[in-house]
Amino acid sequence: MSGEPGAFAIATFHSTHMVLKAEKLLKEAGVVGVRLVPVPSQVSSDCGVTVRFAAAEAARAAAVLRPLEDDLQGIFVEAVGVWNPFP
Amino acid sequence: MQDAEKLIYLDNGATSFPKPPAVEAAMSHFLLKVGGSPGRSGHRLSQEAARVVFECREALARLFGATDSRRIVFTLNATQALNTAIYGILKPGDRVITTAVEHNSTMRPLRDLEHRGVISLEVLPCDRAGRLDLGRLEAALRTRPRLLAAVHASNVSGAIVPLRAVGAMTRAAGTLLLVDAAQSAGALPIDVEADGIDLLAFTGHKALFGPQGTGGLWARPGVEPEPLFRGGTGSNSEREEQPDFWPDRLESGTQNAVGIAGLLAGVSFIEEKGLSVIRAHEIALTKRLIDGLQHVAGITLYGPEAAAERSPIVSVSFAGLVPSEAGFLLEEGFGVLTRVGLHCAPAAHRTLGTYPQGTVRFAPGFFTSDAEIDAALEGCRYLAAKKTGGR
Repeated sequence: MSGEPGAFAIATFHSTHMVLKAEKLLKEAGVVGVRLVPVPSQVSSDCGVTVRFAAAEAARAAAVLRPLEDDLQGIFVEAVGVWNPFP
Repeated sequence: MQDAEKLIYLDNGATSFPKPPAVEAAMSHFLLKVGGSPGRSGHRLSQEAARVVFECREALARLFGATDSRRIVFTLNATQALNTAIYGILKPGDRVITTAVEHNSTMRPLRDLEHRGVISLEVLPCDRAGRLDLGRLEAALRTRPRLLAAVHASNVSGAIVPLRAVGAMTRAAGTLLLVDAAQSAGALPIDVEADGIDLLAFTGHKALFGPQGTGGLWARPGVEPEPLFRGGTGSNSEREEQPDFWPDRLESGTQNAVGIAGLLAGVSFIEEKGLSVIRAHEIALTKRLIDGLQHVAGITLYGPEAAAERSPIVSVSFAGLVPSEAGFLLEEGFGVLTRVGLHCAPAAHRTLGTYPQGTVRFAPGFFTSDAEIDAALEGCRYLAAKKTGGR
C-alpha cells in the first residue's frame, strides 16, 4: 500500500479489545492493508489504537465489521489532513 | 535437604509446578521482545502486548464456553475476582446463600458484608465428604435469594459441586450463581452457558498453568459488578468517569501482561493436550493415592471415595501425628511436598471434622508420575507404621 493521503480508512472503537477483534476479522476476510495505528487526534483524543485499512476496502470492511456494529464508533476515510465519516 | 529434581511436588492445589515449558518461553519472549504496555500507546510493542492480552481472553472464552471474551476481565488471582463479584454485585438487603466448604476468599467478603448489616447469609451444610446437599439447596432457593456463592471443587476434600444441576436450580429460582473455580478452571470441564453460571472467578496459576499474579472474572451480560478500582484504561481518556464497557470497566491500571503471556501459553497447553486427557491422568493419579492410602492403619482419608468425584486432591490425617509434623517428616524423609493445616478454609475443615488441626493435603498435577505417587505412598505408610507401632 502506498502511504499517500486519501489511501486509508480507519474503524474506531471505544476499547482496544474491540479494535483487536476488528483487526482479526478484517485479516481473516483478507481486507487489504490491515494494520493497527494510533487513533488520529482529529478523530478522537483517546490514547488508544485504531485499525486502518485501504480506503478502497471501506465498503467491504464495513460489511465485515457488521457483527461489531454495536461497538463501532465509526469508519472514517482520510482526505488531506481530515478524516471524513464513511459512508 | 534433597535436590530440587528429587523433590516430589504434590502441592498443585496451592499452585501448579512445574509449568509447561512454553509458559516460561512466552514470558521470556514477552520480557525480551515485546515489553510494551497493552492498550496504552499506539506503537507496535504496545500493540503486540495488547494482542497477547486479547488472545488470552479469547482462549479463556473458548475454554469456558463464553461467547463474548470481553466479559472476561483479568485480576491478580481468584480472590480479587471473588471480591469484585461479591462487593460489586451485592446491595443492602440482599440475601445470600453459600456452602459449608467455602475458601476464605469467598467466606471473608461475605462475612464482612453480613457483619456490617449489608446482607444476610445462610451457609448450606455439606456431608462429611464435603458434598453439597442439593435437597437443602433446593429448599434454600425457594426463598429466592439474590446470590448463591459456591466453590466448584473444594480445596480441602476435592469434592465437586454438580454445576449443571446447581445452575439449573439457581436459574429456575432467579438467583445469581457465583462459582469459585480456583481449583477447577483448567482441571474440570466448565461451560458457563450450559452450566448456568452468572459469575465465574478463576485463578491462572493453578490448573490453568499460568504464573502467579494472574486470574480473572467472567460475568454474564446483564450482570454488571461495580468496579473495586477505577483508573486509567487507555480508553475514553477525555472523560474523568470510569468507562462502563467491558473489559475496561473492571480493568484499571496497567495489566500484568507478562503474566498473561504466560497464562496464554498455559491455556494453549490445555487446548493442545485436551482437558479430558489431563483430567483422565489426574483422576488416575488421584485413584492411585486413594487406593494406596485407604486401608492403611493409622491413616484417615477425607472426601468422596471415587477419584472421579473430586478434583485431584486427597486430604488425610495420621493417627498420633499432627499435620504440621507429618508434612515436615514427609518432606525431610521423602522429599514429598504437601500442604498441611487448614488450607484457608476453616468451614471446610469443620465440615470434614478436621478442625482445628486440619489435614495433610496431597495434590498431584498433570506432570506428576505414578512413581512419584508410589514414593509418597511409601512415605505415608512409613509414618503410619511408625506411629501405630508406638515409637
